[in-house]
Amino acid sequence: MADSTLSQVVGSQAMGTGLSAEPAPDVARGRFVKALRRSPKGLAGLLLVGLVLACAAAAPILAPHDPAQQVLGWRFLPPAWATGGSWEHILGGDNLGRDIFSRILVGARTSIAVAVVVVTLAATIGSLLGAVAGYAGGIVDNIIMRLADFLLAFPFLLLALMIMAILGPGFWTMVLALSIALWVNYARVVRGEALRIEQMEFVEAARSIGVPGWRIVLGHVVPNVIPSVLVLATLEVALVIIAEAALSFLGLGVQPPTPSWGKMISEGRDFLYDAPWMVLGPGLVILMTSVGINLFGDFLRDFIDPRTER
Amino acid sequence: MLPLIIKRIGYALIIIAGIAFVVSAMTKLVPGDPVDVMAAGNPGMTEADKARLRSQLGLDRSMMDQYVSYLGNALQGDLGTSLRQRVPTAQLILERLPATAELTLWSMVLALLVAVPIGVVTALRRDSPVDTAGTVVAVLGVSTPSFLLGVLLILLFSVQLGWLPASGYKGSVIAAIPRAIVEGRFDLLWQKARYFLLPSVSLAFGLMAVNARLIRSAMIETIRQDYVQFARAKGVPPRTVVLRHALRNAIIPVITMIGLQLGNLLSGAIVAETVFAWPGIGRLSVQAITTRDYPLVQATVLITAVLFVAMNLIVDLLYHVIDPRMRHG
Amino acid sequence: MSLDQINPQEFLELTYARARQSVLSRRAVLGGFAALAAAMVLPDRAAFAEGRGGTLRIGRDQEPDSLDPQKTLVAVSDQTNNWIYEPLARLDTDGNVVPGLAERWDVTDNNKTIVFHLRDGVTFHDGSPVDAEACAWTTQRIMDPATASPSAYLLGPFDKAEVIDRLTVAYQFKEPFVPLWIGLSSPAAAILPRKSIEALGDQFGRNPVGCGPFRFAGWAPDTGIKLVRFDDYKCGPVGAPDEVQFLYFPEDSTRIAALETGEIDVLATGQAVPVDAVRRLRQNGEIQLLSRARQGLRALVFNMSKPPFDDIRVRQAVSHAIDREKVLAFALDGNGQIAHGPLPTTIPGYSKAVETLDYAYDQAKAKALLAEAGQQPGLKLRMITSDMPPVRRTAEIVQTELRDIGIELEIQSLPVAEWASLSSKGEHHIFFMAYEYNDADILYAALHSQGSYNRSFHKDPTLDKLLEGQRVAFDPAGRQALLDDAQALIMRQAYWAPLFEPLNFAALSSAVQDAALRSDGDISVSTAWIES
Repeated sequence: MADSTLSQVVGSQAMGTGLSAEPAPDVARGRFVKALRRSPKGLAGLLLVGLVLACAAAAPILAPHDPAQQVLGWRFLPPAWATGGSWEHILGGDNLGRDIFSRILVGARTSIAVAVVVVTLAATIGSLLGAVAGYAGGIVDNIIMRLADFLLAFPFLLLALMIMAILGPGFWTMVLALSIALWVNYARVVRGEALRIEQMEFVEAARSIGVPGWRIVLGHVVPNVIPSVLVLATLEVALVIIAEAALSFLGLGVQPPTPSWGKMISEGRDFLYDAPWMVLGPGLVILMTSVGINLFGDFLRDFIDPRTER
Repeated sequence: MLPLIIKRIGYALIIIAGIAFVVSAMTKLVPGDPVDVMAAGNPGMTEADKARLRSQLGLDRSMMDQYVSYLGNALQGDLGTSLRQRVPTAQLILERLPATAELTLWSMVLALLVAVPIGVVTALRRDSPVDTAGTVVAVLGVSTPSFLLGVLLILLFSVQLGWLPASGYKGSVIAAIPRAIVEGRFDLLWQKARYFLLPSVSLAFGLMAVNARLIRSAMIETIRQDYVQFARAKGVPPRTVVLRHALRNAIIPVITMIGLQLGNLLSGAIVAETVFAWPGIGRLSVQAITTRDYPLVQATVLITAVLFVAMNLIVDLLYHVIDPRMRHG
Repeated sequence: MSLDQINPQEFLELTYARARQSVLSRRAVLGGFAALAAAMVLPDRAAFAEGRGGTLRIGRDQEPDSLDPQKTLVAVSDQTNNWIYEPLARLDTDGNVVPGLAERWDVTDNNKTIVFHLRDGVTFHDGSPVDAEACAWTTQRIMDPATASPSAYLLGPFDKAEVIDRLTVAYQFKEPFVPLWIGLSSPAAAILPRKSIEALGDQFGRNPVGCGPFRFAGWAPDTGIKLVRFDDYKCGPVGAPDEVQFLYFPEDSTRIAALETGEIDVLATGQAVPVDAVRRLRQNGEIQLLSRARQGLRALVFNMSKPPFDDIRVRQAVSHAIDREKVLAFALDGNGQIAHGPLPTTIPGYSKAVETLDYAYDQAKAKALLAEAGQQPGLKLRMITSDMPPVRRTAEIVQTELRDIGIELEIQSLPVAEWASLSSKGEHHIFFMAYEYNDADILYAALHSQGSYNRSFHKDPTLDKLLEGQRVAFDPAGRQALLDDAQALIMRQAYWAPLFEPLNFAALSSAVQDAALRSDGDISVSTAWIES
């Protein structure tokens, strides 16, 4: 799914809800907490996400070993529950004699850092372009939306591959490649909203008394789209984590010694027969994280736009 | 409808020419050229040798020059010749397209076979345990990266159980059907199909989840519509209501998504093709980029973009044809 | 005395000596190369016992790009073309130049022309005759700019071939060319059939026709290549197996499983047997594992054009900081040999004296040297490596080792194109050198200030002079003396930090007989056969 279907999946999630078509209700804090308490989905999601965040934050304290330390005796050490394993290395050791558990903990930071930066960038740029397109209309709208079509038609991974080749693999290259692919979703959602709001009477009125365009966008469009953008962003965090893993898996990710879940799986694939735990640990952690985020995102969507659920 | 088609095709052509331009520009920015790659294993090659080869291969021409002549040739159906394999790029693509296309097809068939019943049942039994289970499956589906699922499937079915091959492609299943029927050799089909199983499941899982969710919400929407309520009130049997009225209409918005998904799969499930060593377009394009085979990069990107755009165009038109509201409105 | 003055016999001896030094394989950094037909030392046809033959199914990790020998430089293509095509002469296992299509040859025109006398009655697989005309046409084709042949450089200062009579052809060079046989014995210079090439056009590379020991019988891209024994082969004994299939498995685990389940009989060439699988294959009683030292080296190359490696103490510090035993154990699972100098022991010209100049593992000394050079802990350095798994893993170990002496090493592990292009720009501090070569002249390419593969960017007139000298040294002893001096100088100056010499592996099912592993990593396909 993380292949080249990045925008499509999130697009579909947004579409299935009819997100952009609904007026956003006020998000009152109390109502939110109450709803969260009643939703096993939201609670489970929040718990998982919280766990991953806590682990990432406390990684240097929690990690029992230095993630880059290589010890001959730790090579291909089985996980604790398997014969020959030890509780000192819960998830075992990798091919270079490093502690897998410690690497997963520190790797969480890579994933989260990429996800947060990418989603922030994509959401900001995408929303701005979407608002401008929707509000300005005409040629500007046309250019922005054709650019979006262009990016949709360009096979994402090939684009990423070329960007990586030009700039060299690394954290910021990855951020750039992912942001380029993901702003489109926000642009579409926000543009739809902007178009809708523009038709409304109060906007007509504001315009007739000479309120400048940018203030209408800031004052009316932006507050109205924030909930939809927030849901989209939450769901996209999971997507970016998966995409980061996929790119790292293809050898395009962050460079050593920084551990990354995708890279750990890619490395472990060469040892599937003899040391399957090299893949299992990071694999399950990716799964856990993205399930958590998706559950929470689902809850958030239902909360903001209850129509789909009821 | 005709003017609409013409307009859409016009847009599509502009987008494709734009993609070709960006790819041309990028190949000039990418460090290293095909001669660097060839010389990497041959320290005996001097700079003069490399320079001579570059000019013989036409790599010293300017980017605009190459782009214009490429576009001109492409319009006449000539997608250029691979610098590495020295055969027409169209030939290389045609050799690999069937593998990608068939993997796409089976993945989608598999995904829909599961997604439609799940979507319908979860929509009808909202908030029941079935619905909750459906939600869990859907969340798992969107949360599981296909490469991870692929590796885990290999671990289970190939490494641990030894039931299915871990990678590779042994030819088309569809193409083998006539022979299997004529000769009564259905084992031939299985010999080929076993190679499809793991890759198509790894791709289908995510698609299944997304489509099941879509079908569910579309069903909920349609069931609420007056005509369905009316049919129900009239005493039409529930099964008929669901299948004849609700599902038929619910499927319409889903088709757009399926079109997008097919376009994306065709334009290269690169990761899945890497995991399963699948000889498709995705792997071909990665190989083209790593060897800096510029004409092949151009051709693969162009073809996949055309496939993607064409798929969307077809879906759009289909949408207009099947959706009665669209037709009359 | 210059080369065009010495007598032809002496000149030929010189060319033979160079060919012998190049023993079996030739070049290729990213995979073994093939050249020669070790294989030509075979029992003759009458000696084949009943039961020999069979279909040999060989699993590989790479697939040829083109089987047109003039249009490829990829090792695995040459390793396939060796069986399909026939050059004028071949090199045997000892590096002796032995007749191929040519029965004999003489040198004329101040050592600038080689006259070849061809065997009579040889035909291509398409039935057309192999004659002087074919040789002339073949060389015209490789020199033609329209062919854009990447392998043409192997022929050095070749000018043109002239037909003297039906079976006599003169190869004219612009100047006497000592490494002549390396090019002439490679598939790149094999004689090609005009008839088939003109009929097939650009499809020739997919449907090769030669006059070698095996006839091409089919190629399903992404799957495999099939060759059938050519019974009319005249240039040596015919091959042992009836049929050879080269099957392509890009995934390590699938390829190994295929051998274990008997789907294929052999794993050979390139990285078909990854070092990580060796332990597992060794434990399997049904599998024979062959290994042989590769003519290659892995080393760290310091960029001396900028600080800190312009200071010899920093170079020495890094050399002392790396535990090569650990590198071997971690990255190669013990499958390799520690390197002591810029040449591996397997390349003729290796100087044993470098072993006394070795920088032993000593982190305290390394730290002291760094401090002496005025470097603070936390020194940031950048290293460029290729993204091949063993290289990548070695780089990660080097990174950890350097961290222990206070150096933060940033690794850029890059695909081949970026690797080649970025490293030549010299923005790195350390370059991870990985080469395969067969001759000590690699030192010229990699360490002469004008060398095409020089990644240390140093200027050392003394070393330049030694390396130029070994190129034109007439007697082997004189050349060795120059090479000894060059290697000692390189180690004393710590231009490189040698790491290890890799091994080649091939794995065979126990049913395969008479297979030997050649130094290029391929097995001798024409001797190997399989019990049916």
